[in-house]
Amino acid sequence: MDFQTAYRDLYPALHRFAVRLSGDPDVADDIVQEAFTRLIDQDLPLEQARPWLFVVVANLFRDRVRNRERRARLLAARPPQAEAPEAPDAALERAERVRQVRRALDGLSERDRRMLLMREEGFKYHEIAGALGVSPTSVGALVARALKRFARAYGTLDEADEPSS
Amino acid sequence: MNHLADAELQAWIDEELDPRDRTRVADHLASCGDCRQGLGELRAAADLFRDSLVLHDEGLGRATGDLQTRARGRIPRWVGRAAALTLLLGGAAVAAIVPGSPLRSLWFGESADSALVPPTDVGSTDSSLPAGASISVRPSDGALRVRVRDFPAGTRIRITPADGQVGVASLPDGEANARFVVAAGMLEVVGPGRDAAPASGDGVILQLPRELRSGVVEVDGDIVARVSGGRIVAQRQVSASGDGGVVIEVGG
Repeated sequence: MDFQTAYRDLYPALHRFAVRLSGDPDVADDIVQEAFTRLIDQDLPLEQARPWLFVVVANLFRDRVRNRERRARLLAARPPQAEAPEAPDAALERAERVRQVRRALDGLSERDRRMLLMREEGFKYHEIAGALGVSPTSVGALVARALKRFARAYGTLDEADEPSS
Repeated sequence: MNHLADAELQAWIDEELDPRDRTRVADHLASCGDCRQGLGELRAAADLFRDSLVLHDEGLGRATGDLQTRARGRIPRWVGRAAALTLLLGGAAVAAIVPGSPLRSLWFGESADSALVPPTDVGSTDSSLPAGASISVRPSDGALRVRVRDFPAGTRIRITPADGQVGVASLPDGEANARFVVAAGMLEVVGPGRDAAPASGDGVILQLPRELRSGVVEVDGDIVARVSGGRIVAQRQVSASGDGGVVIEVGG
């Protein structure tokens, strides 16, 4: 496999997946770079490198979350940081949109989140099944259930955020 | 009557059914309003998920990574060129929207389930790329035909079929000036530039497999449209509509 070709072809989708998974472009940068670094040591054809990279990125993100949680526990006794200065309205609106989506995304299980994001990147059911360790015949039902969960979570958030009259 | 399970409806949406099951599901949907409603709910949930990701990506501003940044960096080269990108995705769905459309004959025909494909569903989002070039997108229930006109030298258009099928490309004029890359799951054309644009206006024709019902259309690494289950979701500002298609501003 030509690494440059793999990087050029797979980076955009992989980075998008990582951003959506983490909600943090900087984290996405790091874990995607780490995944490609690990790819160098693999001898995989391009078609196998694609699902392999997505699994590695998801695992790297999971490890980060665990480390973050561990660190949060250690810092729990510390006082909270001061709030950032108020941003302009447009920035606040964007931030609010992101926050709404992230709350709905984070409300999904890790498996559901990875499954929907991989589906969004065009993975076939058998590839998703392979990456998540589930039966290919169960993916349709799992996707449908996860999408409904997301819709409910997002809809609930919308209703909750509407100003009361 | 036994209703279809969500798993079957989702597999229908995601093009994961084998031909026999697809026919069975199509037959059932044609005669069962409850299941059509269930199908609509699942599609709506899928659309909500996709649209929310667009909001999420826009809010973070860097979702497509360095390629998007690179595309923005090319903006000055687009200014003044009056570049036009015309991508036409055709099929039965557009015929349903625009009966008698003169372009109807361009498309590949109708599939058995074309009546179940909803009309164009275009979500307008941002317009981070400069104005000046346009893409018109036609909804399709399967066959994807893309027409590209007068796109600037170096512009890279990539159509990535979600199912990894390989497309074929032909170029009526100016073939020597365009470069095609056809690989597994990807068909890419790098533009020949305005000077090499065919005088006939036929442009570059990219023809993807009839089975294709989902994929992504990118310009310089920036996603401008998604095709999913025969539906088109534009990811750039929709500025005009012509010939039943959707025009998306992307250039400067």
